[in-house]
Amino acid sequence: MIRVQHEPFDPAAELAQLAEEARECGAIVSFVGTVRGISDGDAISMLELQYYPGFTEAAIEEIAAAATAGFAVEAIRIIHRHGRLAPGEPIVFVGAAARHRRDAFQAVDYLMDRLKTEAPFWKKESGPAGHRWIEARECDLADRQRWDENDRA
Amino acid sequence: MVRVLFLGRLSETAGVAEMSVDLPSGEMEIEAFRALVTRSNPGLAEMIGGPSVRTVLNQAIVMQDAVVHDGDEVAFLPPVSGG
Repeated sequence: MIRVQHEPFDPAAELAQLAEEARECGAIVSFVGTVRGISDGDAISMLELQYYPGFTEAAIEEIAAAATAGFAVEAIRIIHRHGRLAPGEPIVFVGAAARHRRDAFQAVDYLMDRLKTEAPFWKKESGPAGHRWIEARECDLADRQRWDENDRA
Repeated sequence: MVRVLFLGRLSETAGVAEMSVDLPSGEMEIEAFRALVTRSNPGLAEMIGGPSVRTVLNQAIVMQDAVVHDGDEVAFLPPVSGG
């Protein structure tokens, strides 16, 4: 299940929904990303995310399908927000349910690495120092490459 | 009429996030279409002509040659920031 929305989400409610979808599973792993208050040493007062309706969801679906194919997961839930967000607000929820914990941990790790580098979002950080557009970071690209040796796609 | 979208920093360079373009003959090669869209904005032309900007036609990435038709949607995507 994938959703891209501006509205805030409740991580606990999303986790409960995922658990409901995967009653037979013995392991559920979830990750919640929040808007950083400091980026490269500069205070951030607002993060603005643009997305491309339709195209962005399709790209996330493709990433989720690769995770489903590569790991023994029964259900995946991805919620991503767009629009103007303040530091501390939840921005992304990624959850995976599997029969065993390692597949669930790995699937979430994989999903986040691909989302951080490939998901079609464009981010603009604003703060006292002005605003800047963000591109995927070197460390995120390195994290993404960890999966290339036996690419699950 | 073709709906044109500029994502991310391209929207600042273009001055708009979205515009409509009329195709006099109803269709146009994508290369000529890029030139048409950017003809009054050299900065935008340089960015869109660069290797890092992807062109998307009706939600699918344009690999090489493509033809834009009346009623289509064209989006220009700078490198993503990721989620």
